[in-house]
Amino acid sequence: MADADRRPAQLCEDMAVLPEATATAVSQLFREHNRLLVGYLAVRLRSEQEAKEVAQEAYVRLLQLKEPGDPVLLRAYLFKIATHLAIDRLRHRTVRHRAEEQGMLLPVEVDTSNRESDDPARQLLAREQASQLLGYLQELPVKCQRVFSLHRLDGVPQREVARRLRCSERMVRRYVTYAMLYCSLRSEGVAADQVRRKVSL
Amino acid sequence: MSRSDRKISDVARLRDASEWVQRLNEPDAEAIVDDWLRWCASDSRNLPAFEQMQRLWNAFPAQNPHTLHTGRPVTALKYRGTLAALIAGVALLGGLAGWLALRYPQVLVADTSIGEQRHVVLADGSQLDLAPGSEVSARFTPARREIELKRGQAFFSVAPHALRPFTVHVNGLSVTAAGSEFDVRSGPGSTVVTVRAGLVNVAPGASQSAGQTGTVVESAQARAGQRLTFSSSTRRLVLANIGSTAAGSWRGGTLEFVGEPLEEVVETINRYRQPQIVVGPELQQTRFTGTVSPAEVRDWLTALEKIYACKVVDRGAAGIFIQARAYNIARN
Repeated sequence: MADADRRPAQLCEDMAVLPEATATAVSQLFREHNRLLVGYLAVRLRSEQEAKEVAQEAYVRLLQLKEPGDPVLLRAYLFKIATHLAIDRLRHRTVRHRAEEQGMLLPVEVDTSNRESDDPARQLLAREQASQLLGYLQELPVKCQRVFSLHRLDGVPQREVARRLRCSERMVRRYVTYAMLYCSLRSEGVAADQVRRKVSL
Repeated sequence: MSRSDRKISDVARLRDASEWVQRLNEPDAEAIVDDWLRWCASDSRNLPAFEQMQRLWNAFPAQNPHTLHTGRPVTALKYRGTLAALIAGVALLGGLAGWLALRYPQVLVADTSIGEQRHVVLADGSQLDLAPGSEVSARFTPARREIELKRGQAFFSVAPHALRPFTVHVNGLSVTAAGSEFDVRSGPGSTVVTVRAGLVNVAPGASQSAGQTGTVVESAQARAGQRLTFSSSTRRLVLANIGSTAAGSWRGGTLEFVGEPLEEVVETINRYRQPQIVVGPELQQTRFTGTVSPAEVRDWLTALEKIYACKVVDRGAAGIFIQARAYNIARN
């Protein structure tokens, strides 16, 4: 929330020096693109909470720009900053994981770890949801299961999955898409045979 | 309309959304952001569909390092670590300890400056409150949880783990607990362990029993409400019943002392504030019982003058001196 608090102050500071158009451009960008930016970041970070944090950070960086420039370029710049911030987070996460794996402990400040992922009730819910989804995966053709779990669960890039399983990248993409569609409809409560009739690979 | 009557166009939209989720997840996603934004703008139902697929994508359990973020090390990894340790131990014949030290290095958990207090959650779920002017390091291996209190004071709430003992090393002592709450304080002349809940075992540390023959310290146990004091001069452990509320009471801002040498009391207070308080040598072993609030230490000093035959001299930044009256008279 610190970033959110900082934003208006930053805005005022910049407005003193820059034409009002700058502040307007950024706040318009925020109104029109925030949901998109969070959606984009959530895919990369796999956490909506973190996506929101990174998005906030990106806007703050944007406000530090001397000149806003063309709206389309500004938007591109916003996504560029956000992408880099997300990469930083992922890198940090990897380091953290390695440290934990080696049995080192990582001190966590309780006051700052107010994340959704630390909420036990939410964690339980997430675990239940995950095991349900894994159950739906079992209903899929074996090859489709294999492709999806290699790519999504083990984090193998699609190109590499294609190489390992001796099929085209296009096929890998189709399997993954099918698995997602299938699981999505199943988790909405559509019966397995209905889904199969409606959705083709 | 039931769920299964979903239109073909809806399914097609979800299909597109799923493709976008995959494409945006690739390393070069930045290049296609514009295309994606155009797709989102082309129909107001596109972004909700994208969000639905993105949530689904994220809801799958993470297994690789890039996505693991709240998870503990996978059990398989731990076993692999243990097996590797075994092989290395056989190969090195005695080099195991050194190898373990490399494999599981000691890391700083936290250190606090004067007046600073911190709460830390460790990787195993145990928690500790670090008092001002303190420092704690830790080394966790698959078999043990080892903490070192290098200076100051800390209150531990240990996550129960019967097969992985939790030991605090302090001034050559090993304080071992399994699912207890206890406080450890390292003072100038003594080490004090106070138990709030559960059972704690205090034993001479490995280095002490091996290196200093002739000064063997027996181990002792303390239960809730008990305190074990190890004096570095007598080299003995003394057990006392002081009540379970005293342990860790400093976390609430009140320092509670039960029959402790003034030297220890003042050393504790000094971790909270400047300027430092200095106790004259003839008063250092005088016992004090009572509570002190670091914020109102002046009141305490005034009271001290009335209770004991002492005089408090404030020398500004140089410190506040507690001197015996008799001593003063003799010098003047």
